[in-house]
Amino acid sequence: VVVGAGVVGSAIAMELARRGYEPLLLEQGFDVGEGASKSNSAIVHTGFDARPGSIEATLLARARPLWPAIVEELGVPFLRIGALMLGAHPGDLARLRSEMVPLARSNGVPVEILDGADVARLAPWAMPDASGALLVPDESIVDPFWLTRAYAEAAIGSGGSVRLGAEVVGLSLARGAVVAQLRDGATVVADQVVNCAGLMADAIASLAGDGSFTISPRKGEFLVSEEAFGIDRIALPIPGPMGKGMLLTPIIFGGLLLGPTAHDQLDKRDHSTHRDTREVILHACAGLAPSVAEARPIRAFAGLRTVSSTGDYILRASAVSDRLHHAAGIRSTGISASPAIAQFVADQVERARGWRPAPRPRRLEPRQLDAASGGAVVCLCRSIGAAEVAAASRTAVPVTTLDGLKRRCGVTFGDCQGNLCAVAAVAALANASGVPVTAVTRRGPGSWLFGAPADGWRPAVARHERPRAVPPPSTEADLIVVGAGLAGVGAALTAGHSGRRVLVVERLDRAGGAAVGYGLRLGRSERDALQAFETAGAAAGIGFLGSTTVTGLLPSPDGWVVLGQGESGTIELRASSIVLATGGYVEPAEHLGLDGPRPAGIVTADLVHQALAAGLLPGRQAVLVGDGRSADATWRALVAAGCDVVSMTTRTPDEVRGDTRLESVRFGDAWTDADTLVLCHRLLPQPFLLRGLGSLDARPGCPAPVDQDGRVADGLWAAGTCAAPDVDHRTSLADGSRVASRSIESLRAGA
Amino acid sequence: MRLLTGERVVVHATPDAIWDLFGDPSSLARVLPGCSALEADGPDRFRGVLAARLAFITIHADITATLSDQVRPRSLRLELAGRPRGLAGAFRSSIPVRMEPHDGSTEVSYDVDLELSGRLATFGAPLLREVMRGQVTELVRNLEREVARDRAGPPP
Repeated sequence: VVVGAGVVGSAIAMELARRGYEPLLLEQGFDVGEGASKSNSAIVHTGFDARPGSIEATLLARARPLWPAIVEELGVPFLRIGALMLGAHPGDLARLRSEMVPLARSNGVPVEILDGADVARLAPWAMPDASGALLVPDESIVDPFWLTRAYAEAAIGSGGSVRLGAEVVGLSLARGAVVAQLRDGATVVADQVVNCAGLMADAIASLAGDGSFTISPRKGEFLVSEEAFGIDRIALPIPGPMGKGMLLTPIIFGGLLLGPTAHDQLDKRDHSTHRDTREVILHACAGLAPSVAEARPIRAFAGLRTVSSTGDYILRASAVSDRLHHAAGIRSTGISASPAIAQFVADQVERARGWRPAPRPRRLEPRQLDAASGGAVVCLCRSIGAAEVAAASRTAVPVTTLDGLKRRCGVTFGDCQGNLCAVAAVAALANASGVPVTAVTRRGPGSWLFGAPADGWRPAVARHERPRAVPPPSTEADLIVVGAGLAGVGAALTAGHSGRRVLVVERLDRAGGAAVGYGLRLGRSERDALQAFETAGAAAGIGFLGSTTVTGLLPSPDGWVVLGQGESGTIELRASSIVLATGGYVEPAEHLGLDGPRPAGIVTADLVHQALAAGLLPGRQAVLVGDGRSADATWRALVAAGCDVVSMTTRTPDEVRGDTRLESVRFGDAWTDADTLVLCHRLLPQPFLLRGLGSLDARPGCPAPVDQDGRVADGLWAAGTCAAPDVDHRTSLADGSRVASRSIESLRAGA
Repeated sequence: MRLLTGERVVVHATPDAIWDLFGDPSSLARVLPGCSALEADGPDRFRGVLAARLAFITIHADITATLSDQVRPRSLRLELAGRPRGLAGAFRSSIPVRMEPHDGSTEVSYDVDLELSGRLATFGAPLLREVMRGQVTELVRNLEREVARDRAGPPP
């Protein structure tokens, strides 16, 4: 039995299975890698700066030659990008030469010294006055979720098994066997047990009467930025008296990781993050790369590293019994050393009982994506299609939670933090697992996402079970309008009346965007425009292509190519001009950085209306932040569905409480009990399409860069919320009409 | 985006031998990494299916390849456009290639401009760079094998 399916436990299970044994991996969480293995810098560290002679340094050195085979055999996302330890002061170069180079050499890690000019050439993003740097070419990055899962799946493939939600509460080593008691009353009998329980390793040891060590948590807070500022290597400062300091790490699937802080605490369950810490991290990281000061993090998270009472890894049999082995105190280098720790522990387990291996290694085939179509787009921020979500739902380690799905395909990771895609993602997961949507949780019992609405309630805006696929009258037009919200409708009507061929491409199967989706109380001109679009649009030469998400714009010699993605695949459309009317999304709480943990139930009004349209209740007792007609409509919709909206305020929340689901929210000094916090305070523009063209960086909140006429580039225009966000869309209709007029004038001038 | 600039590889074959491979779809199909189908689609234009392995995932893409700005045997431009299967979006790449003879070998230098949309655009530049370099390494290996095969002549 291996207790704990973090990266170390999973690697050990794989190693044991490959040697012909039948390990059972027990994990108290509802996915593998739910502890420190999911919240770290995702670096495969060479150990160039490890303390020579420590167990850690020895195992990091042993792990280095094992990595190429791990990456190849397990098909793990891994990039050797190298690290730069940057010196800011004139004396730093000498320090790197006299201290770091000999240390790296004694650890057997190749390094190079770069002078200031080399740094400027190799890392133009680094601070301009860098005096030099230590280049460590073999430092690498990995997807930590994928690695942990791949270990576990390789264990399963070689004869092992994994049990999730299995918390060990008793351990008996008497009478020639190990008997592990689980929280659910089950017992597991085994020959030997390996304790890989991370932060809880001391508790597992003490279940067997072994009090030989203690483990305490050291919290590290990180920030995630979608924009990477061109940073293509790991950047780290020269270590000071306070430790290694904060790093900049490119994320393997794009974006940048900033941090971590280091804060010793007592509570092993406290993963809270703090708004004040953001400034600390941004300031420290901007010292390495000045542009990072302009970062707009999309989320913060905290990881708890294990600090053992011995100051080093604890890899040994227990003094209580040679059937109990510890792999504990693995500090912050668990990922990096995992292949070597696994071999070391497996050797130890074999020796303890005189076992002889019967090797049966299995390769994991890389995931094949050969579906004819990507399917309809589920995640708008990252253009993740239904085919990818479906492939992610079929992994050997079963996925039962939204967080598990996130770590398998990337949904909910982007700018909107799941507020635009969680409803569809949860529905897809429920469908794949054959459970009701309301049974899918964020990360296990208590972290519920959706409930059932009040009896007899029906959504005001019904969701169509099978979106209507309207074939476009033609794939070519004079003007393509992307988005059929108020701005898109305004643009289309104006252009249609001028006699131009207009095609509107819309993600939903209806027009009206958020105005209709939220059930806003519309003004007369808005109602009339929507009515005219529905009834007279076709007659005015306006085509409508619904249920199609535009995922790309490509310039062409005679205008633009627009790539649309629908259920049946990609469609290519052409036009002389494009008007982007892609709207916006409510700023998620993750961007604000509230103090506290991250329970389920902190959502935006976008998610509320999507959930209600799908017949799901997003919360039972809610606090609503915002005012104006969008917030009013959200209040009405929640109350009608049976949610108790206990307070509606324009104040910004400061702090939240709740381990699994939200329990209360603090505004100033006052706490309000609620299981749901709904934000409807501010809209961020959603011009994601412009990122692919390079005309916009990946920081959230950047509107389409338009001139006074609404022009972005030749033949490319933007109108409404994606250019000038307004939470109540008051100006959208008129703005769409205005920009369409300009674009038509421009077409005439060109003709 | 400019993904790669001033990349260089040495191919153990003459520029003329390399050039000849580019004109013929069946040779080109054996040379292009992960190519499972390729057919001529007009002069200097091909259509087919390529696969790229990103270590952890294999992506198949329907592509068209166009050769332009040809100055035999010194330089050409390869334009690739494609759509990955199973993923939303598309890519378009322009790869100017220059060839310099060197004692029976050829030093090939190239740049890669890449336009991405949809899912591929969300992968970071470091990952895409690694994939592109891997594809070129395989291309060079295939080129050398193919040229050696031609030199040996057709099987009896």
